[in-house]
Amino acid sequence: MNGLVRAIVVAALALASIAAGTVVDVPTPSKASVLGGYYVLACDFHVHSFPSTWSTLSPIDTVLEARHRGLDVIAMTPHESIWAGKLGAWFTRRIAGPIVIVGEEITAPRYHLIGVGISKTIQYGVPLADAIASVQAQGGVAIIAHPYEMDWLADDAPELRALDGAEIARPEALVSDEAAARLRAFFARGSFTAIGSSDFHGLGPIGFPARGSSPANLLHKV
Amino acid sequence: MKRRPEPVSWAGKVKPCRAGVAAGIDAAENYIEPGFEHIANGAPARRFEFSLLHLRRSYPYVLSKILTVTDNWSLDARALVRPARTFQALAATQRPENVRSTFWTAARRPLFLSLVLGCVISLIGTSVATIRLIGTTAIYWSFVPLIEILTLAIVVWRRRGSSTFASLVDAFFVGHAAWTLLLLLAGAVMAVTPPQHWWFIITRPAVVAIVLVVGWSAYVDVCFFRYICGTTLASAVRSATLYRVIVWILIFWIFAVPEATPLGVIQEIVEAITEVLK
Repeated sequence: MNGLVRAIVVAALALASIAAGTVVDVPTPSKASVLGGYYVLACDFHVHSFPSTWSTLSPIDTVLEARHRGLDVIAMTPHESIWAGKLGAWFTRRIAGPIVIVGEEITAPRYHLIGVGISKTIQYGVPLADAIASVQAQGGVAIIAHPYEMDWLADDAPELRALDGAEIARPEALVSDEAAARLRAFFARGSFTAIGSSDFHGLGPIGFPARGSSPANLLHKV
Repeated sequence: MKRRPEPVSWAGKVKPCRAGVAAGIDAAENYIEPGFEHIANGAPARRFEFSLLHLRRSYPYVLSKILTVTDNWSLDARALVRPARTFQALAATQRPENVRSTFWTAARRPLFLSLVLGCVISLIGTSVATIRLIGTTAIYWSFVPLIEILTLAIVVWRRRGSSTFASLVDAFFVGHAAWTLLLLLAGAVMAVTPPQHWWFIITRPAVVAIVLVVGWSAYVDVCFFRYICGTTLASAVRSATLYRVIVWILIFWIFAVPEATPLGVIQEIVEAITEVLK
């Protein structure tokens, strides 16, 4: 088989694979439902986008992917920045896509905190109490991300009382009993809301269901 | 020096030599006179010694036969398994009168890499290669081959000799097969693997695969700088090292670091290593 024939065969196989993948890639419709007088929306409060946050999809592709998966709300939470969320929010208004809430994943050596609904960036490494206060001062909600190693936080620490939510349902907790147990143990230490998030970095499906209502009240409900 | 005669008599056991001359069989050798059994018993030892000698002499021949299989492979595949020889041959063909450098010459392999990146991102995100993701991700992930080309320009500009930059770019990406295969393998594995095994794959087999590819591709890069750019071995190693430092830092900075500072880069590297080692 000479080089030209080989190249044609490889190209044909690649095109056939892409065509087949495109055909089976059917969008998931958004399933709006009402439960106990509330609209139930599919939300994901921890989504990353390219660049700069270990993710593969751009903010625009992330919004399109969220719409393709039938999500109603996502919070775009890049590390130490909020411009991706702003870009996503601008784009989704133009395509009537899912609600995009601007957020940030504030990182420090001992914690990662999701600030959802903020308008100013919060710096890396600030103490947890200060980070929570900064988020709430901007009208946002503070959700502790993947709280697996929060043993350093005392049970009576004011930070636990100040938190609005914690990621208690995560993809790895669905397949690991140990991970699920550790998240439940953290949830038992405080009186915050349990949140389910995908921590989407481009690997695997985006989206986790969560209860909510209208856009303006989503953060209030959390 | 008189060589001792080759043993040829044990029926059917002697292989023909490389010249294809069949061994003769001496029937008289099968008859052992009483009292001379010790001589016949020595035959197996001489037979074993002959076999070893034949094998040792024929090992390079056998190896060369195996490697000639690659002669019919594509240029990129040959550069993957025999980079030194391939780049030597490629350098010999890159005389100025033989080189037709066009934009397509420089762009074809980087474009292919962009397409591969788009397909892999689609596979790891949705388990299928869908045009709605490939079309856009291939565009903005073109920053990877673009950074490689710009860095190549920085490293080899003064040493490119009579070669055009387009042909240098094309020759450099000929040696990119190891990385391309790793990307395709990663996409295929993550597309079919259940989510509960992803973290294990990322932190164990993927790390091993990356280490192997980093090592082998370093050798390929050194061969490129040595034979295509015509430098000494020490200079080729320096060029390959400088190239990798620049490319990896830039790609890592764009992909993973929110703060455009050296401290931000270091912090992200430390966090990444900590996560993998947990």
